[in-house]
Amino acid sequence: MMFGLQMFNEMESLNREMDQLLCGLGLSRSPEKRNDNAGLRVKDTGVEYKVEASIPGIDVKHLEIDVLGRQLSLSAEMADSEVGDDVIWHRRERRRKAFKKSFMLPEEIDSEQVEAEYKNGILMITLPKAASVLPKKISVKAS
Amino acid sequence: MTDKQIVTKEKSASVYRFTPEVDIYETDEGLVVMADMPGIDEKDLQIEIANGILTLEGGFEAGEGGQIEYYRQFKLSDRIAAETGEAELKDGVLTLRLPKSEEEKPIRIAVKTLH
Repeated sequence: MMFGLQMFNEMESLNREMDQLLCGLGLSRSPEKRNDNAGLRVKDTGVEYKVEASIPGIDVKHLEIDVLGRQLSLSAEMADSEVGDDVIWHRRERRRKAFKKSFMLPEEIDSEQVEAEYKNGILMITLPKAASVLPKKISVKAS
Repeated sequence: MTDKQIVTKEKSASVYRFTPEVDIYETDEGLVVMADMPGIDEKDLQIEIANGILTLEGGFEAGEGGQIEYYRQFKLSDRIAAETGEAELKDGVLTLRLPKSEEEKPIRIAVKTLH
């Protein structure tokens, strides 16, 4: 099917070309973008860590979050897109392989209190710090 | 530089522009465009087809004054009947179905067996 090639054409985008150029040089203008960190952001709010991962289109049934001490492991599989074999592919840029990430948080986590939410393709995990690492307030009795 | 100028400069520095990764494939019926736009909500997304140019555009506040923006454009063939297109957003993935115009769809001719 020859005409298939002309069904669409990408518009020029200086932005993207710059990205590709910089990526080719081993640099990236938008570090959150493609390298395999999948837009992973970690924030320390004092009493808890908030971990945010951009992983659009995952199958929530195959999403696993494990906490062991200070280590957080994430693993997710992409949802099936049900594309038949008889289609003609023009672009295949989206992530296909499963997402796997494991890293150490600076402090111990209260693994019983971890909460996660997946919304609009962003996974947000709230990890409260273990009581043992939180600062203790010592009240002074006035005599 | 006045205070006002400094403020605007800081604002523009916290806009992150992304080119959404796409899958595009063609079936007998038409073109399917799937675009990763994590974090985006239905109300933040605009899909426009004007003069045969498809524009995917969206943006939202990402907290702490940061703004995330997505933008990508494609020129469509006039053999695409874009006005009957359908879009669906799920888990940060946009799926856009753009049917081919009727005359582009393959016509199957049934063969009769004569005895």
